[in-house]
Amino acid sequence: MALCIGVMGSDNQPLLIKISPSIQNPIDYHYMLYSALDIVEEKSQISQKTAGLNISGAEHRDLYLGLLYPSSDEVKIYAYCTNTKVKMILIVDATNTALKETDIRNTVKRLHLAYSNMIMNPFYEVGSPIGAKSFHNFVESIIAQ
Amino acid sequence: MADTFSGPSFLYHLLANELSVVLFNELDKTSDGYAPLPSLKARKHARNNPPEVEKLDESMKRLNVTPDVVLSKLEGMGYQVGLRLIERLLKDHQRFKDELEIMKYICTDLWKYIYDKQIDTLRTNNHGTYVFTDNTFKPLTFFSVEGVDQYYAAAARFITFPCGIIRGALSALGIRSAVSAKATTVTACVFEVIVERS
Repeated sequence: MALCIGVMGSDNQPLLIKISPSIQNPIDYHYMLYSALDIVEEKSQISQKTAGLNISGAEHRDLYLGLLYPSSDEVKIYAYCTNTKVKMILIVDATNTALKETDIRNTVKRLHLAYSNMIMNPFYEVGSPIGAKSFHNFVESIIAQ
Repeated sequence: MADTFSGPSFLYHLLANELSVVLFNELDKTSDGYAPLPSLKARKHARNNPPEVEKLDESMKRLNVTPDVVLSKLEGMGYQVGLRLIERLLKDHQRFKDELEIMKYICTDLWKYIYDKQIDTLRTNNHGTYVFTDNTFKPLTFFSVEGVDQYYAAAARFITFPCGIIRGALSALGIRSAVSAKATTVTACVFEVIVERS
């Protein structure tokens, strides 16, 4: 389903980056992930401002940020930013027309649920790279879907 | 300090916790860190032969720790709990507008989740100081002591952990703060949160 999934911590440090094994040039995807972070930052800040002014507040206060920008013809980048400033970025193939927006929203919600379950492990240090096998498997299953 | 706990002392639990961290580090790092459950026989044996527990005073003397060390350790444990708990509680919550909204959330929803009641009053000077007052703070309603002096001495141990929870929850939401608490009258507790501005 997804070509690449990135989970970034509150200080934009990478917690987990998984790229589909079918990709020839993984460096490009790293580049896309990091450039997407700037837009996530901008979007979540704008949404805070508009929420204060009460301009279409309900929509902007959603944790799901949606399609980040109309990028290239090849990929689409979706983002989700939790209340604790953990960013989840999904890069999907733009040519796959069967993929619905609601699917993406559900997937990224499930990813957040898996993250919040994983963080309950007292031996995991919050903000460090994720080593939990179950979380890795979950992310891999989304990519392979 | 005349602290005597008959029965399992809480320091013992802290030490057991430390020990388990060491043990888990020995396990395979790539696994989730869950140890296999001990067998039924082993559990039965452990239940019938409980470990010898020292009194708090004795173990503190032996390990050369002061009450301050224990309190700061408890606070640190609360911090870890707050940090993780808030992630789960805010899973379906919309983004916060400002600091005050976060404080309101802690006073209502977080407190309700932990203690089954809300904080009674929230006051602020609008310059980064918030004061939460809980008139019947749950952890302070369950123990009996002789005399008021002993009550206040004992209360300090019960309110450092919640302080850590508040600090951890705020830190997860991007607010650096210092939290202190004081038992004012019997069963009442006042938390003072001072936000650090950079």
